[in-house]
Amino acid sequence: MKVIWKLFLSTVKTFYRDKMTFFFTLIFPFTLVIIFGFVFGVGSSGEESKLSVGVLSSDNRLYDVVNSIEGVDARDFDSTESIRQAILQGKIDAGVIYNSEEMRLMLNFTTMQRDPLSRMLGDTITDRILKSDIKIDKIIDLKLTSIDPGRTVTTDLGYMIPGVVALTIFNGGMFSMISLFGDYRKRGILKRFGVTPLRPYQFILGMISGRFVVTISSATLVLMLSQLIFKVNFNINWLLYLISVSTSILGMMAFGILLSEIFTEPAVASEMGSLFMTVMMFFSGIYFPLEFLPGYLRKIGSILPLAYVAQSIRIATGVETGSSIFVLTVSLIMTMVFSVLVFVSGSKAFRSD
Amino acid sequence: MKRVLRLSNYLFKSLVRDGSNLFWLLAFPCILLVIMMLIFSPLYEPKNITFNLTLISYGGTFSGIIERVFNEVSSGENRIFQLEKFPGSGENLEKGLERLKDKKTDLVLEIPEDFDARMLNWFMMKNMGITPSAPTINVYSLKHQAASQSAYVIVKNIFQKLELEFLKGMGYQMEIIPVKTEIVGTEDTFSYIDFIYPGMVIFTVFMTGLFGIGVDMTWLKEKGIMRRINVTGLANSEFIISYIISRFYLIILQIALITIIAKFIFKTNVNPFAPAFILYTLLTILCLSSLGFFIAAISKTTNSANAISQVLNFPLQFLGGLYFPLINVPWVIRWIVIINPITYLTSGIRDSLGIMKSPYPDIVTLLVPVFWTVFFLFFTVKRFGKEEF
Amino acid sequence: MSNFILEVEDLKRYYGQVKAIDGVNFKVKQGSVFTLLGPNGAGKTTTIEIIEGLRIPDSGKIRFLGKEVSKIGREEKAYIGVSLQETNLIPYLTVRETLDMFKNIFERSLDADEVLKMVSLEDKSSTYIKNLSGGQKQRLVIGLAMINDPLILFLDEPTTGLDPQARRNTWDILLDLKRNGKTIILTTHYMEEAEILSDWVCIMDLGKIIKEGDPHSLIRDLGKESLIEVELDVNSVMLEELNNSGLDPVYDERHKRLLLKTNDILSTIDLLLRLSRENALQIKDVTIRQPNLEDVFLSLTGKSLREE
Repeated sequence: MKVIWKLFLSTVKTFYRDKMTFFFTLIFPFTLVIIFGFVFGVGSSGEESKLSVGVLSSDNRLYDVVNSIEGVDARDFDSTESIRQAILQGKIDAGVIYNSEEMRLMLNFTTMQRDPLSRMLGDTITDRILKSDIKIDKIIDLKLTSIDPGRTVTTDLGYMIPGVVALTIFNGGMFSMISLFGDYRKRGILKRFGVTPLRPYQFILGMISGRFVVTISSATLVLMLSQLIFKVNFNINWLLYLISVSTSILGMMAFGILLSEIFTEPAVASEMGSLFMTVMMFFSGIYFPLEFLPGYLRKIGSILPLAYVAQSIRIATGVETGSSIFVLTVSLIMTMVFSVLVFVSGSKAFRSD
Repeated sequence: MKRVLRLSNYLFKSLVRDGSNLFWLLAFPCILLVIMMLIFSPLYEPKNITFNLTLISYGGTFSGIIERVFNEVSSGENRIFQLEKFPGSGENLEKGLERLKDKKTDLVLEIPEDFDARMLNWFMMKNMGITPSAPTINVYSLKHQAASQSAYVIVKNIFQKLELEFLKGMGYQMEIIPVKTEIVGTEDTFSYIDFIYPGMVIFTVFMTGLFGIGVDMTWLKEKGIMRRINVTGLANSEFIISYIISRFYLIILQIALITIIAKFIFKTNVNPFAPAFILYTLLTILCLSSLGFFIAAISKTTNSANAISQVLNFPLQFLGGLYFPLINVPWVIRWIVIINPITYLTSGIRDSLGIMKSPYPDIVTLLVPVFWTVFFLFFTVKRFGKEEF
Repeated sequence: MSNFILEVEDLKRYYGQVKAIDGVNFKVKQGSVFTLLGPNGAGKTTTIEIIEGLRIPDSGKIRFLGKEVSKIGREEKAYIGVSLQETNLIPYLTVRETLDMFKNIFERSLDADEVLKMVSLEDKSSTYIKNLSGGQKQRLVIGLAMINDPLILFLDEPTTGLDPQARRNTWDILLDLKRNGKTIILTTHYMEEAEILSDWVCIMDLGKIIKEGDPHSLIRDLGKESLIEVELDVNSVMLEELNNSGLDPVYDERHKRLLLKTNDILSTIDLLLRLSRENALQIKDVTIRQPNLEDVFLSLTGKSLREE
């Protein structure tokens, strides 16, 4: 037991020296939270920002029509050119010019990128103009109710953060195993331990438990820091959280072990790790919606483990409803994959070749 | 000069034989370009997307019209919705909302039981010259789901068109006003590949600057290879010129690869041989390579060069507007955007291709990268100009 | 032109308060193997780096090929070949390419094949540097120093870190070069190496040359025939007795080693045994041997050459 404890401590310490793992487990996800939080986030208030739309000051009627649309703020400008400039510099989101025959909608690129359907703003405005001509506001009242998917009301950013935690887990689990199994094997450290009376399971337990604790702390740290900075509402079911996070770490460790088994050169294994990370980051629907992708690409998303880990953690943090059965099933699969792989490669790693 | 060129050949050879360089500097940017295209281009040209819509209706004349309209847009090849209909009941609404939360459907539309009666009432009152309150249709969307929000915008649009039809039926003259949409600063033929291609050109040069020069040069310095070459009597300046030439070969190869993929796989409209674009690319190469030399000048060990490069990598990349323009971001991060040379390089290079006008004045777009280049080179020359290592 | 290919006079180089070298003088005869011997930090590397042109002296004169120069510049560098203390090469080039790369820098150069043969790496010519063993790499480094057919060859600790076998291989190459009349300037902290290879040895300590001469006369100057090395925890009483007996005891506190010089081995051993019994000290090990350069250094400075 003492041996395992010592190994545990030393792996905790080496985590901070193992730059690649440290970077991808803690610094990278957190940088992404900060950047995406501030760039795309709606800030801490949770309010969706209003679209600001430039209108010629000479066109009073258009100004009123635009202002009457919910979620839109009209701003007046002297000339078409000044509207264009303001849009280009990002001071306003869009501009409209109406000359009774045609409606010209000018959109800011970032606005369109954030909300591709802002293109439909033109249709909404012309519709209002037509109706205001005959003084009818509306015939049918569409009453929108936005349902929170989880137990708690949160912002888009709050919904994204559990995904970032999942990424932390993925990186922490995968890269630490690549470095432990790959690097240590290459440098003969595994073999060195193999000739000591230490039993393989003791060694592996010591190594893995160290990285395990570090990863679980990193993940929770990312969660807490994001909550602190962006004042996100979570309703964390700690039991479910711990179960899903810890089993996911095991599952992701298994992935790392698998990579270091396939790519015996540690540099190659860690490059493959980065490649998988990139693919998972984009195709697991953490940062970017997948709904607009063609079907075959969405299928890729549905086979990536990160998507399931992210969903489990969303459920555990209360931003998405889902049964604990889902979380537990994911957990069980992760644990099983992990056990099998560790058993197979663990005993293999000690054998000399 | 001949020996400088020959030395650069060896330096280039050793660079591309290293699998790690091949991956990070050549393969990875190409893979990233493909991924970005797969993920983002459908966002800008939203074609062939079907949303799942749940319609709950109690039946009736007006409800029937609405159902028919939705049936129509939910059939055929270019259908917008995958429609499922349930007869109206509180139970079915509950079921629909459950399906919404489980993401089995993107939007739930409930036509209430009294809708037909209220519709009839509305028309009668209107005929009598009174404008009554409009009958309600309930729409339920799911937060944080882009698909759900998009489906709502489309449903809203359909109802606008439907209302116009009703009004026409009531004898109003309704000429639909045509809308011309323009994304300011971009060409009319905007496509995502045109936007991302120059960004990836800068990305790939940036990678070479950070890792192919910054880290690599520090390694040569740390391992005493520069000293070894120095004792042959080759001047430091000659060695650095060979080194720059070898990196230039690599950058040309990188840009060629990215360009081939952009041009032949994703069919970009831009002309990669436009003189202004080539000039801006050269400025990019100059600026980001000198950043690399600067890193090598200030770091003692390969480890610290690696750390500096990693720290710079993502913030400069994401906050340089490579993937999305950054205007109106909060001050917490805006200062990075403002001091970041990549911001101006990206704006300038897109402007030079005529894809998107730079939001900054031309002189700023040009001078900020030049300033950084001079700054980086000053330090580099100060460090490597010394005779001793 | 004088007989000396390189002369150095009152060379100084300080790093702040640290006097790395403090007035070094020596002359190197053409065709000889000249060795700077000393412990780590004695100033060997600074000295050799100055005459390789990597560092500039604070003061002092250098005569290179009979011509006085303020430093070793680009012109002079064409005539020297260098193997640095720790040489790394570009991992993804082959042996052949590395030689060609360096060959291309010089105007005057040997054929790469010739050099490969000289350092017996013919069969490794298309191997990547990263796949070479330590000894092979070191041989290549010496080969690289030879590529411009230099008049002087600088070898800064050419065998440090090599296993005995690889070290002997390197010595063979160097002895070959010596036979062919090459001038070699060597730094080392291996006495054996200095003894086998050198014609002239300068012993350095604390930035100064404290003794020089050919290795045999340096050893002979110690005077006594044999040395007795004893491993024990000596005390002052015993040390004084030994001193009084004219045995010139030198005690290395750190390694608990006592060195005695004598012409009469048997009676000295007798004395030793008696004294250790009287002082209740236990002798752990005794070695009797001929003196070597290490002993020269030890008798000059009172410390051991190697920091083990």
